[in-house]
Amino acid sequence: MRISTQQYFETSSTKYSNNYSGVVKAQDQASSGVRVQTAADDPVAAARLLMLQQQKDMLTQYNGNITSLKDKLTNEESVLGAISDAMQRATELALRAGGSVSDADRRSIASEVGAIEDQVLGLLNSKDSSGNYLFSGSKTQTPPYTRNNDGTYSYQGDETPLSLQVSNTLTINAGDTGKTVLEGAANSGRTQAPWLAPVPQTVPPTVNDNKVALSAGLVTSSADYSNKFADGQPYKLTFTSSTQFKVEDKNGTDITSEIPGNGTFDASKEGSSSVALRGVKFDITLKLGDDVAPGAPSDALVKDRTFSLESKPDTFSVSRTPSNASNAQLTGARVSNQTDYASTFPTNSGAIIKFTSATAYEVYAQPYTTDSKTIATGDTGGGTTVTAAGVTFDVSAGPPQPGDQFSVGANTQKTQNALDTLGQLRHALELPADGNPAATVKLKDVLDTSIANLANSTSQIVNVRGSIGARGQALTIQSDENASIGIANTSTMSDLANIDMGEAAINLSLQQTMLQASQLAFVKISQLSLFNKM
Amino acid sequence: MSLLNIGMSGLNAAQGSLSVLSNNIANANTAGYSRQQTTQSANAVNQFGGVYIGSGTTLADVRRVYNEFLDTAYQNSTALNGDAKAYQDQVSAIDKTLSDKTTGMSAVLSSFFAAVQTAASNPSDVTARQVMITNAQTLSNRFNAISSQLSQQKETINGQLTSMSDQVNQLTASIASLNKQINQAQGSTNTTPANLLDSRAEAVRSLNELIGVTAVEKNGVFSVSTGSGQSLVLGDQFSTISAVPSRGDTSQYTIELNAPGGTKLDLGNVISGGSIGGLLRYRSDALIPAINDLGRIAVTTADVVNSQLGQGLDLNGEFGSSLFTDINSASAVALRSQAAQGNLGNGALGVTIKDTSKLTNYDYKVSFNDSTDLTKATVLRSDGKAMGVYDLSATPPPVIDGFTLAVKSGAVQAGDSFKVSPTANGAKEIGTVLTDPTKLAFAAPLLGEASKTNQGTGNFTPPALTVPLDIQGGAATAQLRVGIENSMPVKMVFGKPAADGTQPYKLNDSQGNPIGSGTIVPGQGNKVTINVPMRDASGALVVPATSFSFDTTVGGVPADGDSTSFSFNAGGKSDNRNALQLLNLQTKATIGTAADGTGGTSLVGANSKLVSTVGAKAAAAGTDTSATGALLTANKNARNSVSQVNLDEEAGDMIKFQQYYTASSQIIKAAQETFSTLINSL
Repeated sequence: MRISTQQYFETSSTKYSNNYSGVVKAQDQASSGVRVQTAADDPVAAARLLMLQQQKDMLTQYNGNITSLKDKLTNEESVLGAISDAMQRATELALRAGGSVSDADRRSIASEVGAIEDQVLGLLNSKDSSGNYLFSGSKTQTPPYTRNNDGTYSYQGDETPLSLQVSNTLTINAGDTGKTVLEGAANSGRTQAPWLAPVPQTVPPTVNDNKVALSAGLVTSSADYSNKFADGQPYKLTFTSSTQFKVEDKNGTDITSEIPGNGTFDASKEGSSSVALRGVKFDITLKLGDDVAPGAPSDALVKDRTFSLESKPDTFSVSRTPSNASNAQLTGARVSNQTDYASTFPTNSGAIIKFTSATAYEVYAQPYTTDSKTIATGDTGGGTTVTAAGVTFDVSAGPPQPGDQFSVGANTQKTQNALDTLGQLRHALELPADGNPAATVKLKDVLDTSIANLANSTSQIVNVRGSIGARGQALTIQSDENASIGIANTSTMSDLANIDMGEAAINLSLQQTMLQASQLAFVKISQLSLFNKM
Repeated sequence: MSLLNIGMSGLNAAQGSLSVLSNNIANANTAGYSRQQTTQSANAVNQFGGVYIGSGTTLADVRRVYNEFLDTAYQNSTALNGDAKAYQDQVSAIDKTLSDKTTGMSAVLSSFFAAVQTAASNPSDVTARQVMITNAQTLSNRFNAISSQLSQQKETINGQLTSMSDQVNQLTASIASLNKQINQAQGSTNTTPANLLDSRAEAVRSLNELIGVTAVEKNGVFSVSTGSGQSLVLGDQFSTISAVPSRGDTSQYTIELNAPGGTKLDLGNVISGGSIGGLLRYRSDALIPAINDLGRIAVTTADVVNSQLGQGLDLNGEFGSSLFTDINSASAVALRSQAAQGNLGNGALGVTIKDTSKLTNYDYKVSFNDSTDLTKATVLRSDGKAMGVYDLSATPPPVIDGFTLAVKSGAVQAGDSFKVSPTANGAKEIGTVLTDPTKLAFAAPLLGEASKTNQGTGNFTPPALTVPLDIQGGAATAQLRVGIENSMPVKMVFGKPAADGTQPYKLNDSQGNPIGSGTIVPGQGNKVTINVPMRDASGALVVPATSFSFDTTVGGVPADGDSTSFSFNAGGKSDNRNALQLLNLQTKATIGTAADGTGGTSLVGANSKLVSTVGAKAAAAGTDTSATGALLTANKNARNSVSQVNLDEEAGDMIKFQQYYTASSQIIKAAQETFSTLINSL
């Protein structure tokens, strides 16, 4: 084929520049190690690389979350551990108080219980490194527990723990709320056994001489209590002798046969003088005095004494706002309409009763703000009772003035948080009981209840700690999984994007050789011109 | 006589040949030059007695070595290669921009979601929220930056089309003028001046670099036409072309032929080949889809993030504000359509995006053809799919591929048409409007709280609105938000389990009024939808009665009298439930879902699809360029091997003609010597 001179030079230069760009590209790939420089190099790999990069970024983020979760959970675990220890100590103190005899001893125990109470409150109101409260759910700026005027404690947080994502599909709670840690603990002391004055008045005394005493009762089975005891209460227990009693339910049906022992007891023997009625255990104590002989005299003294075995009604703490114009007080709060109470009363947060005139009032849920809406309204009609959301109060030292406000907190008997238990324990220990049979009975009730409730609370905290442990384990597993996904991700990415170094080196030297050859050939051949020979 | 004459004729012929040869050597590097060869013929013979003796030679012709078939092939492949190269030059630029690991969209999308993740793990931390806003700004800036690079390319193409049209006009003018000169030269002598033919062929070739043309020779005159036969040169007449804003979209220039008689023809859709063809092809094939695709990602990002933030509550306990600009702001709605030039009516079409997941990356042509009913719009998608005829007056307005159309101002007339680009401006228009980090809504609006008096084991999942709030809902949404704030709390009170194993519950509003009841099966997960009558800010029931509903799943075994209250979550500063939902958007399929809601891809997925689509086009353009380049080289070689100068060959010829010259000189010398021998002998 005929080749023109220009054609030769053009071809040479094109070939040369192709070879040159090949060398540059080979060098680029070899020195950067990256095969896919732009999407045009491998469109499919480029798209996958972007998705893999996103997955990699997310894994980094998940690992950050796992670290911070582990940190938070460790922190929480140590706080809960300290709370458990404090409650363990409080239980020991309660047991000791049960055995000790003097008021002075008990007072010193009370002060220690008070210290534990403060310590537990402090622990529950711990903050994390960012200054957020650990146990108040999503209301991290609100202290979870505050002490009310009457010495009880209210939970101020919510039930929304912070949760963090640790994989595409798994989110793990970064903490627990006061609600799960403390609030739900069942109250073992939610019954009472008041002495009933006999009607008509007969042999037994007209006032309770506490010679025959019945403890307030301890719930031994919550299920039996809810399903059976609550339905039949109040029960009437009547002693028929110093070794026998009978129990009737609210309808007057004799249910003595349901009780183990079938209505017999032996007050002189430990462990055989209790009434185990439908999940609740009441202890019978006979202190008839040394001068009363067993047998008939005792029977006569004990016979016909009656007690009512019943659930404690919900109680309410009412406080008047100091700025109130009048001195009116709301007292004697009691549930008067169970349906309204269940449907309307804000049990968790409490309510505000605000008088708009001397007789008319509005009820709001706490916390009260100017935007709050009334949940109920009413009018005393000049009387002395106020009924708000199913709860009735007596007005004393009235009448109230317009603008008077009262805050009402509900105190349920069904559950009791450990702080309230400790407060109650401390309070009971502070009261003198020496030589006072009624006070002694009450003290014993409180001690029994406290020990049981502290155990309930402790077991709840143990549950939460167990769940923290489980979460920790889940985090470890997830962390391993994320790591292995990460390794697979990195290796896929490098397979797709990176060059095989050996191949790159070979390619580079091939391109180099080709370039050299074309240079050499060009130099040699371009010298060949017939004009040179002329 | 004869010997001297014969010698002279040889000398002349050798000299002429040497001149032609020198001309060849001199033009060895001239573009389009065809080498020339001399042809000699023997002179007439004279009769001397019984024999005929020749009388020397004549330079009969200077022939241009040229093969029309090879030249045509060369010119065609020039047009193809010009097209492919123009395409590749453009596409490789956006391929680099989009696929860059550090500056591409994927990296900033990932950092945005990483910032969301960090903020979500510490919802009350204002610094982390600020970082998220800063990342959102980076994200929207990057959308703007890439979008401006792409639109700049659109501008550049407009400029290139203008300057190339000028070059085309110069070339067509010179072809017409050459036609005229050639015609005149041929007319007088019937010989063709080689240099004119070469110039004309070279002009046609240069024209092919710019625009694909067909040249047909008839009687020595070239007729040049482009596209589907539109004439550029006819004899000594030529038509100019000009780059003008196209009729449907003034931001895109098209090529218009100024045909004789003042008529103008839009060649935009028929031109192929040459740089102009390549640019037009690149613009419609790669650039516009890429702009639309990027816009779609931007619009969807803004929409899904804003919508999710609109579901939650911010640090102040208020419903969240939008992080990005409203996708359906008045200006955005107006920008998405352009009335065609020459519309009779003055109507302006507004395009409102209803469902970002259904958007495509196509443009649409909307025309009003029915003169009896101007609310009927015919919609044609740019991929050629006829979307159908829609009644724009219907309520609610028909949703076409995720958007709705409405005449916003003025009135349309029959025959009017509009170009609708729902997503083209998306990436340009996106911006970050939120500056106050406390207004980022990370908390969920509703909160459930079990009563502390509960004894059972009942539990519930956090309540969530059954129907998400529509942030585009205007007054209805505002009313709903007020309603949610004021109609809560709702208390669910469980009753005693019935004999059949179910357990009834009652729902009460905050004042204890019953608003509903139902039953659950204890111990199982029971999905409960709770309808709440709405109240206004004063606490009064909204008239006419309206309600909203939320869902929760009740599990466990609630005891008789247990209750749960669901309330407005005003105080949850560290609630991150909505932020976690926001995070889900990173991997959720939010773009290009099918009508039944399946399929689709995530934001980063859509971006990587865009990157790989452009990458594939760049790769194809690379292949195309090398293929057409190889074809061009082959055709050029074929043509050049015939027509171009080979210096060695010329050197050989030079020696040949030098010797020929010397020989002819020797003849003259011989004649002279013969003559002097004769003289001297006298």
